[in-house]
Amino acid sequence: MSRYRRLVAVISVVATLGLLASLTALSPTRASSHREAPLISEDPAADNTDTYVFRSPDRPDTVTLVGNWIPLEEPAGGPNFNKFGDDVKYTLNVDNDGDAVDDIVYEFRFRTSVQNQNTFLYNTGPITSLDDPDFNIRQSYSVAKVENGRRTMVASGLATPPVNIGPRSTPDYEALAVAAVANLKGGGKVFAGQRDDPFFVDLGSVFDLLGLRPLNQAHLIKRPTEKGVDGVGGFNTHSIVLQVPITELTRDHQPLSGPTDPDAVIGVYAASERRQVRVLSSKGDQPSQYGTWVRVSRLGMPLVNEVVIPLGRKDRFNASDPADDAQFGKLVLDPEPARLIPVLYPGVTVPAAPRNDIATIFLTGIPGLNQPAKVTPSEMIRLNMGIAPTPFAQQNPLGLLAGQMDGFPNGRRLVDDTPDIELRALAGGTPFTPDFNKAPNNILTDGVQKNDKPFLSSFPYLATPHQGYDHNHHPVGS
Amino acid sequence: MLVGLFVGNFLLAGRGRMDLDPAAPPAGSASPAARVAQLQNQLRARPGEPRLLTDLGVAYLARARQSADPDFYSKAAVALDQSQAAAPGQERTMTALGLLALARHDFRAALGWGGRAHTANPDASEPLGVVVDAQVELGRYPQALEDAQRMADLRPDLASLARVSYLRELHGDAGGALEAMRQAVDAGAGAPTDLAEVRTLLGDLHLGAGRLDDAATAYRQAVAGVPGHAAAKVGLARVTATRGRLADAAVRLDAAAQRLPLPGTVALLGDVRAALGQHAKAAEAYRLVRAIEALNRANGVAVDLELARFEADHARAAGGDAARAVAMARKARAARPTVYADDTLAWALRQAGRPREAQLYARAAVRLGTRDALLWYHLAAVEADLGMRAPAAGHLATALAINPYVTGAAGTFGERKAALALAAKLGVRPPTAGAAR
Repeated sequence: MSRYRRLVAVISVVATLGLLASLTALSPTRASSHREAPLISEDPAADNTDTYVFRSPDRPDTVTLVGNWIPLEEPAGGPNFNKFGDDVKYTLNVDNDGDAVDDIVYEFRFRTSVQNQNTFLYNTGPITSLDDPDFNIRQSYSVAKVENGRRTMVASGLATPPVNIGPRSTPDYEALAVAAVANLKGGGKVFAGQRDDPFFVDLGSVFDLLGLRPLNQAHLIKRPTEKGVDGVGGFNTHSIVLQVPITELTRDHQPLSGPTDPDAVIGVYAASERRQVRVLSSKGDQPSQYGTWVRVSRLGMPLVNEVVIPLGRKDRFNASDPADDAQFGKLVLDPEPARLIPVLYPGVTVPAAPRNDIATIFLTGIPGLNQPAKVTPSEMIRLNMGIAPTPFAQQNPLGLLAGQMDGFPNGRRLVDDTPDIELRALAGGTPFTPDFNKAPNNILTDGVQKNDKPFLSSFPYLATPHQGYDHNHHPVGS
Repeated sequence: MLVGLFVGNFLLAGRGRMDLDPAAPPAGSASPAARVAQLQNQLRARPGEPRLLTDLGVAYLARARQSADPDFYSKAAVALDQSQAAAPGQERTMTALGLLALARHDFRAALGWGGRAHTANPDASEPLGVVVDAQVELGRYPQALEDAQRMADLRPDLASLARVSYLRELHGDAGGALEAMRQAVDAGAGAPTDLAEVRTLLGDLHLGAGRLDDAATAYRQAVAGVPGHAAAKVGLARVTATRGRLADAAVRLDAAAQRLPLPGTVALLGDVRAALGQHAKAAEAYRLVRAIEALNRANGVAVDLELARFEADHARAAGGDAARAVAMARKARAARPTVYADDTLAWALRQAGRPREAQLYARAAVRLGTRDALLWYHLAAVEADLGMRAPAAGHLATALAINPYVTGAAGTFGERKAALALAAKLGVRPPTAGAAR
């Protein structure tokens, strides 16, 4: 499940929250006899929100992969401060030959340890280092790499920082985060822990009948024009950030000759898996057998899972493998949100289905840019690693639409304004469909063009998480 | 109309397992009443919108649970029926109708809705949860095992694991049940409400095994995560009562019952009052239980088995009527042929002085090997009434080995005393309390 999936439901506003809280356990006569366990449970720990992959602007010989989990994490999260799931296998998956089959999978497993069994408290005093005795509930993790079926342990016992609680508990937060960056053999780096959610979008408006505040006058239901509001502003997420040399990802592990190198394009997505169990073990009190891992969530391109895959097929999508994405191809060729645009914005026309332009951007990659030589259409972010990164300070949120070849949809950088780019793509406002590449199709915007916190120019790039003590939600965008 | 249709489809694009409205308070603290009001507002703008109606129905279910006012089940039914009429065959609506049926203890209807929802979306795990719960309550254990396995294979999350735990518990795998519930707790990371719920169930498992300290820890963790968590607070009161601190337990239960007058809580309060020798207050509580159940019944909740169990347990108390309890238990067992229905009928018959008839059902109640001390104690008591000393002694020893306190998450606190008296009579040496920790 992905962010949009969550966001889309926000259209029906609090409704869904109602569903969640209420379905947890309905037991009118608990302790009588009918026992009910939670049915529709929340599973934020295994819930993919966003995936990013870009050539590192400050270390251009490396690529950075970012997977985010736990949606809309409230900074004031006590007493149940968020953490990764100890029982979840988190993965960053790489296809380096375009066949939609994983060639390299980085696996992350977490383990929580409680230092002081006599307290439920997260911390018993200010946390000033990662091994501070007052840092009571800690999480460490391991990184493994599976390449062509061979699994090797990359690192283990790595520390995660605490969550950013406030000035008393975590007085120098970023120092803790920096201390949690681990160097890997071969020149890589890894970080896992809470960060500011780097995504920005006007949730409140976009999911109120595809409203775009700056274009409120063009909507079927008119409202005064307004600035966008960052609906993700003030929320955190849990991130895994991995930086590896380009040569670790190429098919033959050789350096690239340039953008046209046949091995230059990789496809990337993030996923989470839970472990199957046998309901009854064969013998009474024997420990039950664990089964295989089953995928419960995946996310590459920020659109397909979210708004293209309909409700009834989300479960299948999340559990499925990119190699089998042909089953969803039709949905991408006639995406529902695109059909909505002319209805909600009278006078605006969009290209007719089949939308091969959308399929190109979202399933195969763009020929001559980020389409592998032989490609099996599948939902992944495709990055041509041969294209030099734009210096951090000059990155333009409109990415490829602003002429930056290293920007979304060629990979995805933190600054890239994927909602605006995707809105325009859905409306046909891109060079693929010249007849529609005009106003308002190519100027659609939700009015939120940048994150609520500045990104860092170096690893781990994502901004310091909002602290629980003092934070604001919903900043008005530029 | 066209817009409505499109919008409707668009809305349905997100199912939202973890859908938070950024403007709402964090999950677990948002008020169901506020959600109901918000949805009613939205429905005024878009009358009859099926998804909103489904959400409203589900919000009413939450309201019913939060307030213990079964009137909200009737309201939920109206909203869900309207949604189903406007847009038939939506998995979400049918799953919600299944939930309503489960809440009203109409397990046959729940099975139907769960099955239809599963057919509509075979990849979703929630419909199978409805099916499993219904199968269990209909005593169809082999099918329940099969469907729970399918559910766990699709998505081994907190919801699946909690069911795996219960099925293991029912089938006598106490260690496996504990393990699965611990896994469910692990899987609850980041979901405070669900987490508190499974921590409470974990507490119940410990309590049923006589591990009072572990039970208290689990309940306290649930309360630490969701302050005021009603079921966990009742669990803590039960631990307190089991430790023999009855006056303290009465205070706790009184507060819990004031806040949320669930029949189970009120019955427990009555039992504690009775154990304290406060018989008038106990009788008052028991009258209240019967009144609440009548209110439930008026709102379409089938409480036959719950009430039969209550009547069987209290057949010899003031206001009790053993013959009535037997009749109720028979009727309940016909509708819900579970091991607990067998146990209830057996106990009602025994309380009515009919141990010969009781024996058949008491034996059926332990047919799965369920590690619930009460089931084994009831069997032993029936056998003792029949003069079957050896099997009675064996089954009583089993009961005491499972839980030296006999009562776990159910029972009236009279059982331990009665079981120990029976043990003395039969020459069974009871394990020292605390032997099971």
